[in-house]
Amino acid sequence: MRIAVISNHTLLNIGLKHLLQSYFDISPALYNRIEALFNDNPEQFDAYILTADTLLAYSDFFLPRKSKIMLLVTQHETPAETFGPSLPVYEDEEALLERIEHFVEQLDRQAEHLPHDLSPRETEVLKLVAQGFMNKEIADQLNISINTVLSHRKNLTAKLGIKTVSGLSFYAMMNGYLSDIDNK
Amino acid sequence: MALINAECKLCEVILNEPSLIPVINRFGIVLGVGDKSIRTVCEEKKLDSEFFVTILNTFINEDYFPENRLKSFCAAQIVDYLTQTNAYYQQFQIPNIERHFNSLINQSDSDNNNLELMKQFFEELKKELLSRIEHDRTTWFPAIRVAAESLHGEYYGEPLRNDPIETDSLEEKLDDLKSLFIIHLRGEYDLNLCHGVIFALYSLEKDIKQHNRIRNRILRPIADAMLKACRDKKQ
Repeated sequence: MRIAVISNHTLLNIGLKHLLQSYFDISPALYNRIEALFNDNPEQFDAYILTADTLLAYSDFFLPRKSKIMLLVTQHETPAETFGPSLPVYEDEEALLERIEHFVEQLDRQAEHLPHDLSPRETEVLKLVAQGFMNKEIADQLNISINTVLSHRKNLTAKLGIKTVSGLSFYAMMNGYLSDIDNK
Repeated sequence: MALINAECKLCEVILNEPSLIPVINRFGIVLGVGDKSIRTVCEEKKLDSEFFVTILNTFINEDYFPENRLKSFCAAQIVDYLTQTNAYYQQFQIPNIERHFNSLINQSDSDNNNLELMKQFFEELKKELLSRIEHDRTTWFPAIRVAAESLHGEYYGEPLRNDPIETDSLEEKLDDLKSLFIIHLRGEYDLNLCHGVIFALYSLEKDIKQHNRIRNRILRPIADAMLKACRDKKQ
């Protein structure tokens, strides 16, 4: 997961980076100046942690990404809770961690869109991969482009957690997509 | 874990990180290490303490990999170490996984042929690992030793940069086998024996990753440079 932290408080940024790395295995990109973010392909991030001032000044970019934003609250004022997740930087470590945890959980929930069951097309591709056909041959047999085959294979690996051809073959046998005899 | 140094007590290092036990075995050190410092143990065993400490550190800390320091060690020393790790896979880790796998299959519901298929996948992986070990033993390692002797400590140039290292098929297959267990396991099986197989697979995987880092990023560039220097010398 890629997170951008945008604030002009260097120490605050470093502290946030430390928390994200130690507890969530996330290495955020730190930006002291908003211009640096916009020079750096701002769409690449899954989430943004920034102050309300920055959000308001660049609302054209940030408001459509509302669900991916956490607001830094630096002063003891009524935090803008109504906007969404916020991070009052003066709270103790445990409270901060709990807020970040909820935010990361919310982002994970948004990212969890890939259905786990294989589509009929993916199953066909799986069977052919398992029988040892090359991508080009699979494309010809199914009358689809090589790029489509590659994209099905990418989905297979993402859904099944299996990368190698032999791993896919054994998965296919274990699930009755292929009998042992077909393969051996 | 923090980096260790030669003045650390070996026992404390191992108490904190028991996965090092097979690694110290490769250097001829067995349990019952007493409370001596690493430097003292290495002096007694006539080991290069700097090499020993570097290997332990790269094993404990996955992010730690001092390429320049590792490349400063002599090739024969690295070959010896990798030979020992190969022997450990062949004589201990692979038989250990097989033993657990066989008991798991014997103790589980006979309708569960998934386990049999997973064992077959493991056999394929084992064959690939053993054939790599055999090639190391009969071809690659002897060639490096011969080159090291014929160069006799002469400067052989900078280690050659390899092409970016391709993904290792052994590591990928081990990963897939883990996924088959963790994500796709079905049917009735003995839970304890299943844990046994999985932990043994994780431990083999960790070791092979370390081995591959040293093999591909250190030994291969050194060996390529040495073999080239030998060829140039003959011409």
